[in-house]
Amino acid sequence: MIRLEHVSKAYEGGVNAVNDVSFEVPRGEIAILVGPSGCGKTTTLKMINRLHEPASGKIFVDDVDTSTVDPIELRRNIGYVIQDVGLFPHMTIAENIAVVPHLKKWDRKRIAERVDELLTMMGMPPAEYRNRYPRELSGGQRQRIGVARAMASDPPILLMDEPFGALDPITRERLQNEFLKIQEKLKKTIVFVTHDIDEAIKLGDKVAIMRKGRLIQYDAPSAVLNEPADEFVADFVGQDRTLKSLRLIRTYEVMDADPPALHIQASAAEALSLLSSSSGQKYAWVVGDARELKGLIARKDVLEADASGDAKIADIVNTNVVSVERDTTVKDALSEMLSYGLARVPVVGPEGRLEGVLTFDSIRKVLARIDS
Amino acid sequence: MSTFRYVLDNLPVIMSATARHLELVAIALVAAVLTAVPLGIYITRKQVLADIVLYIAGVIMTIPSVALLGFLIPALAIIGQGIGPLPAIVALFLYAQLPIIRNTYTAIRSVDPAIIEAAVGIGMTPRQVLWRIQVPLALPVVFAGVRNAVVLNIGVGSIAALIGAGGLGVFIFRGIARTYSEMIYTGAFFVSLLALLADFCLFRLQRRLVSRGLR
Ligand SMILES: Nc1ncnc2c1ncn2[C@@H]1O[C@H](COP(=O)(O)OP(=O)(O)OP(=O)(O)O)[C@@H](O)[C@H]1O
Ligand SMILES: [Mg+2]
Repeated sequence: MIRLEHVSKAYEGGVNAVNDVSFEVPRGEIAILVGPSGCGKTTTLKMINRLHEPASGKIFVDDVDTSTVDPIELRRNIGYVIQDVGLFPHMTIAENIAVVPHLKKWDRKRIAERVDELLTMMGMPPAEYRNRYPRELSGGQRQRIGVARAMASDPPILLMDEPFGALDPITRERLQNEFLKIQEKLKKTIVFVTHDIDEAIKLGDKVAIMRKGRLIQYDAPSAVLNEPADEFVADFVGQDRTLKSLRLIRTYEVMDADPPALHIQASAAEALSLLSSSSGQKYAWVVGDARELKGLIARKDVLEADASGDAKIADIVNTNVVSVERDTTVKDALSEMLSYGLARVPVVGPEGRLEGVLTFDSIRKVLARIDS
Repeated sequence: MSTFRYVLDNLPVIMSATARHLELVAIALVAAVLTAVPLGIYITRKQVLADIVLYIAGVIMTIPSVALLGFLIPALAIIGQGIGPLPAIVALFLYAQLPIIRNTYTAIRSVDPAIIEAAVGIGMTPRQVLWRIQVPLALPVVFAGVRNAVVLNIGVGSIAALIGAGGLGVFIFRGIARTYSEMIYTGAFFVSLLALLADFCLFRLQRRLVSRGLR
C-alpha cells in the first residue's frame, strides 16, 4: 500500500513541481499517473523512493512513514523502472537484472536462476540474451530488461516511469498485454507514469490525472471517462470517449458464446446438416478433440466439395484464420478485425480452445450500451 | 645505414639503456596512477579543491623539464639524492599528474546523471555507485589519460640522462656533445619505439579491463 498525504515539492527556481497531492494505492493495484509533459509525474514518483524529498506532506509505504526509514533499504524493496530505461551500459543483461539481488547478497545460484526466470518471462530466451550488452538490444528489449531489473528481487512495490514510452504502437501494445498478464499473477502494488491516456485507461485500476503539479482527478478509468472532474480532464481524455471505453472491456465479456462448431473429423454430410439453408448458418468453426480451434468452414465450400464426391472436413477446412485471445480488449480486437477486413473473429482461451465469436454486431451493442 | 651499424654494434648497451628508461618511467607512472586516480576521483566531490588541484597540475606541466630538474636537484640534495634516478622519477611523476587527474576527474563527472540516478534509485550506496557504476564507466577516459602520460613520460624521460640517471637519453646527449648523429638517431628511434610499444601494451590492457559493453 502506498499513500501520499498533501505532498508538495518545489525545485530551486520556484516552480511548484508537485502541489498538495494526496492519493492512496491499495495493495495489489495499479495507479497510473498521467498528464501533460512537466506536470510533475516523475517528481511524484521519485518522492516515493526518496530520490527527492518532499518539501511538505508525508508518504507512507505499508503504513510506515518513509521519511523515518533508511532510504537505501527503502529503495531496495521498491522496484524502479527509470524513464528512458537507464540500464547500465557496462554490464551484461544478466548483470543488469542481477543488480539488486546482488546488493541483497543473494547467492550466485539463486541469482542465476532468477535472471533466467525473468528473461523467460520477458520472452527473451536466456541463452541468447544473458551475455549481451544493452547496446546490443533493440529499444523494446531494453525496456523489457528495465522492467525485469525492477522486478528482480521480487519487491512488493513497483514504480514505473514511462516503461513503454518511445516504442512503436504494436510493440507497446504487446508489452502492455504481457504486463497485464504478469500483474494478474504477481499482484504488485504499482505506480505507473505515462503521458498516454489510452495506456492509463487500459492498464490502471485507478488513474491519477495531473496538471501543473496538482492532482485533478483520481478515479477508476471508467469514472474518468464517464465523469471527468472538469474541462481539462474531459479535454485530456478526448472526444472519442466511447471508443476509448472499448479498452476497458475484454472480448470474453461481449462475445457470443457457443458459436457453431464442427469436429475436424466430421463428414461433409454432418457439415451440411449444420449449415443447411434452413438453419441460416453460413459458416462453422472447426475444432479438434479438446475444442481447440483448427479453422473455419463455409457452406459454399462444403457444397462445392460435396459435388465432387465424399469429402472430409479435414480436407476442405480453411486453417488460415485470425483469432483473438479471450482477454484482449475489445478495442484491440476491433482494430484486428478492421485491419484484416473481418466481420467476425473467433475468441480463444487457454490452449487455443474456441470460446466464442466476436462480431461487429456484438461490438455495436456494447457501444450502444456505453452511450446510453 | 651507418645508424643501423651503430645499433648492431652497441645492441647490449642499447638494450640495458632501454630497460633503464622503462624502469624509470614505470616506477614514476605506477606511483602517479596510484595518487592521481584517487585524487581525480576525490576532487569530483569538491568543486573548489578541483579547481585548485587542476590549476596546480596544469602549472607543473608548463614548467620546462630541464628547469623542473633544476628545482628538484637542490631540493632532493637535502636527503642526499640530488643526483641519480630519484629526481628523474619525481619529475616524471609530477608530469604524469595532469593528464591522469584531469581525465579521471572529467570522466567521472561526465557519467550520465540519469545512469547515476538509476543506480541510486535501485538502492546503491554512494560508494557502490562510485565503484560499480562511475569508475567502470569512466575507465576508457582514465585509460586515455594514462596512455597520454606514458607517451609523454617516455619522451621526457630522456632528460634523466642529464643527471646521471641513465636511460635512452644517454645516446641523445652524448651524441649531441660529440656531434655523433648516428648516436642521436639511435636514442631518438628507441625512445619513439618504446613509446609506441608501451602505448600498444596499455591499449591491450585497456581492452581487457574495459567492459565490452562500452565499445
Ligand atoms: N531537477 C530539477 N530541477 C528543477 N526543475 C525540475 C527538475 N526536475 C523537474 N523539474 C521541473 O519540475 C516540473 C515537473 O517535472 P517532472 O519531471 O516531474 O515532469 P513529468 O510530469 O515527469 O514530465 P514528462 O512527462 O516530460 O516526463 C517541470 O516543470 C520540470 O521542468
Ligand atoms: Mg517524467
